[in-house]
Amino acid sequence: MPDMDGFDVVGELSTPGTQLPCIIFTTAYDRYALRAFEIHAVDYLLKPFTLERFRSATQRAMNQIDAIRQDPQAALRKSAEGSQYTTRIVFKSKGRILFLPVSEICWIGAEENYVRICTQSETHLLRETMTHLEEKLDPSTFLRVHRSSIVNLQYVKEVRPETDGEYGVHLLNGQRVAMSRGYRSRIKNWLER
Amino acid sequence: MHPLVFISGATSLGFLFALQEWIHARLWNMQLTLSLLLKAWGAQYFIWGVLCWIGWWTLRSHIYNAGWKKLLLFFFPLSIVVSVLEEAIWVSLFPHIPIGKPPMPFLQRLSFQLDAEFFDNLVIFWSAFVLFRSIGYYLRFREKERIATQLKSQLVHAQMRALRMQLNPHFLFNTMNGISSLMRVDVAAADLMLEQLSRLLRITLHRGDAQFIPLSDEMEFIEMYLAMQDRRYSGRVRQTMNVDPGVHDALVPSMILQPIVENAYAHGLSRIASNGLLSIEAEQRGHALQLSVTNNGVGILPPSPANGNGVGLSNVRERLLMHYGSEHSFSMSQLDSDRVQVVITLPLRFAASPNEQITGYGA
Repeated sequence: MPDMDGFDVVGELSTPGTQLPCIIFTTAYDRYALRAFEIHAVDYLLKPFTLERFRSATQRAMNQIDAIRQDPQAALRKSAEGSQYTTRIVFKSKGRILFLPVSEICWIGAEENYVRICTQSETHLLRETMTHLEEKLDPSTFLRVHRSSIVNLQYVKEVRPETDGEYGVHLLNGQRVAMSRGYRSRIKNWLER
Repeated sequence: MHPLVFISGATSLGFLFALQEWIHARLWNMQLTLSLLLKAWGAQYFIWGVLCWIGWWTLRSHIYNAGWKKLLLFFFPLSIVVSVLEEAIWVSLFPHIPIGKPPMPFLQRLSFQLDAEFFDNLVIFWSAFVLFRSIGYYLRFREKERIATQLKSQLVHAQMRALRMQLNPHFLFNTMNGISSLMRVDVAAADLMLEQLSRLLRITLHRGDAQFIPLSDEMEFIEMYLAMQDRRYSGRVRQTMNVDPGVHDALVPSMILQPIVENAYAHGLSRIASNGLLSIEAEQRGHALQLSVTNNGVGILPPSPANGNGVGLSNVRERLLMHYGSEHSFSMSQLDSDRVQVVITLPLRFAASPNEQITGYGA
């Protein structure tokens, strides 16, 4: 664009008191991803992208618009008090930039200096510690069930006792996550709800 | 240096000394003819030239490498022997010297000359020795320089080759060709292949031209590569990857696995219609990192450029050799009737600082 870049346009569109429209960035460069994330862009599509990828980004935008329509005050409330828990993570994985809503994370496994974030369709290896993630994620949704696992309770189908006296957490997609005794008391609270 | 050059050089030196003595004699009004002096001095240095040349030719390496022991036990006695020998030869050539004295037998003349010349001869011997030794040092220095330059150019060549492997044009062209043919029949599939290729390229771009990268990065590339192959082979191959979490950060040469996986597909898995198996493992074995790629399909063909079997793998072997010398191993073996396995072991090394990643948390 001749006089402005994408960020300038977003700046022009922001007027205080009004809702910013949903913005999706499409670009060949990955270096602006963090900045785009920080100004709450819905998604960041690296060129070239497939129709499917484009659709999932627009779907997210539409979900966001619907959510605002249903509860116009919630968004303003959230930005006012500043949520202490993360609702989205930005990272680069397998040649893509992802603005991943934490609601799409089924469970997280530890792999020494790395964590493996598992969504419905794929997994991503990130250099992070479990403890750091645990702090960032809302404990009412994300429960640590093992030294090496955190599960998203929204994806938990059931907790089954196993033959050796241990318990297994079974997710909606059929996966089984081990639960260690030390953490069982935590899940008990949740089970009793 | 040609012997004639050396000996004539030595003789010329003799002539210079002769000239010097003649000028000196004229000043002091001594009766010495120039021709006699030239003959005497010229002969002395001529003989020395020949003896030194023989000495250099036969004892060259000993001169270069002699330590104190050899100097004392060998060269010192040698210097005495050669000095006497030279004088003996010279005396036999000039029976009328010393002039102005009654004729003397050989041995008497020899001892007379030795009185005068012995220490001078020793000086000549050791001067020649020092000269030869210095030449030796200089030659050794030049050789070292030559080897260093050669190594440097070898390294540059290897780096260029490795860089070329990063981009791997042959793989690029194959994929682009696949896109070109797919787009006429299945646009969505072509689009997907295009996106996958660009993701692959982006991964390699991000690495820059680092020779070594963390295993997790290499595996990220391989995952994408496997996804592309999976589409190409329409699910005929079951792929498994097992990486020991402890070695995610281990350093490996960039693009070391891709040629092996490509080979597994091109020469093994492509030959079977279903139930293809490809598994990649990375684990720690003591102080080493072990990477293995196992596939079924046809057994091992003898690797040769004609089969196309050798080229990619030989590049891998060369690079491993360049980086690790003897501290690595590469083996390709047939596990059973239709399974082939390639195993690489490398020294286990980790990066000094962990690789960066854009990770941000927000809303």
